[in-house]
Amino acid sequence: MQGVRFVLGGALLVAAAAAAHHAPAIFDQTKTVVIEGTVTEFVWQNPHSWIRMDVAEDNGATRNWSIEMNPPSYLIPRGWKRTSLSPGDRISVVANPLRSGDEPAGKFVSVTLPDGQVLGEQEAVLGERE
Amino acid sequence: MPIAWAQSDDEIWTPPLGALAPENLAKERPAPPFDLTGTWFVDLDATPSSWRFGPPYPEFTAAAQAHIDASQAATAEGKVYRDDIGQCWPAGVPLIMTRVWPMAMIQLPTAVYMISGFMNSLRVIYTDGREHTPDDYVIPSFNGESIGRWEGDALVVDTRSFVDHHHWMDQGGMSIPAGGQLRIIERIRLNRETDQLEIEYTMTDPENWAGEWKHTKYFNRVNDVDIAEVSCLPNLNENMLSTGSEALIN
Repeated sequence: MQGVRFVLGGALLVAAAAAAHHAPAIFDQTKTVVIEGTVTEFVWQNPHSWIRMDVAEDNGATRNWSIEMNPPSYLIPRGWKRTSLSPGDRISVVANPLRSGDEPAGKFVSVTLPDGQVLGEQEAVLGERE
Repeated sequence: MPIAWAQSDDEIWTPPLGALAPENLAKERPAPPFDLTGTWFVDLDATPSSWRFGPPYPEFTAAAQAHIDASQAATAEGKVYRDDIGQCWPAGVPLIMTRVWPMAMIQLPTAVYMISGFMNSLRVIYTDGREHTPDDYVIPSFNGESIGRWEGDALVVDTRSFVDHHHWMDQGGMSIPAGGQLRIIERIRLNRETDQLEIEYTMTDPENWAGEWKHTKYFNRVNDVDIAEVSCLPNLNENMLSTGSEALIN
């Protein structure tokens, strides 16, 4: 199954927060969505990493999502490697959605890799303390 | 026809001897009370305001308050008010000190070189006895021009000559502008028992607040981290909506 599922309640609430490059105000960190799709790009970069992924929507259209992540130094302690994702990988991402609007973007919380392994990211503090 | 030069050579300002000039490094100076060399990270648990420099805040001018009000309204709408750092403008002093990236400090007899992990921002505190660059020649910058002097158990740093645009004392719902008249005095001490840096900030900027804004920050050594290359590349804002223009109120 592809697409985006909104997760109700607080079961998947994670105290994740944005890294130090900018304020994460546009994301609602009290909510999570599950996004299933195919990796088009995984960028392992400072000051942020990100995942781009194609997601099939209910209407048959495909949209390319941007999943914003903390820098590699916050990912490595949670088991990430530069090679953890490749284009074509089918993944399921848990992310904080935008507060408003319908742009295909989210703030990373965790990913389930094709082999079933789940990777998260270490908390950064800038957003959390705002 | 000969060129009529505006000034003769003896009227032109001569910059001081470079901080890394062997002749400058070799000058005899009293031994400093401590060595800042190391990698440091702001102690976010030491003060309730964590990376921010308030509360408490000073009394803001109407002009500064207008920015604060606008940023609070933007935050309430899930938007970001003038996120210049997200748009790759330098964070500048003082925010660069607490921008939740480690900061490498290298102390030499003539200067302390500070390199933030955040955008590799360079800050140099000159301790070789030089004066501030005259107003006619100084180049305003986001980190300002820092001149330090050892006083007892402290390094006292006077930082001036900041830019008057795209520079903020805070952001994220408290967008307090930093103006060209900003001046920051830092008293830097090393607590030998805790191996912790204490920096007492006294900040004035009559364009934006009344009187002295005081705040103290603490920094811990992080010995398992080195500074890496961090640049604000064009692909960042192309791929991250939270820093792209659609998320902003400018």
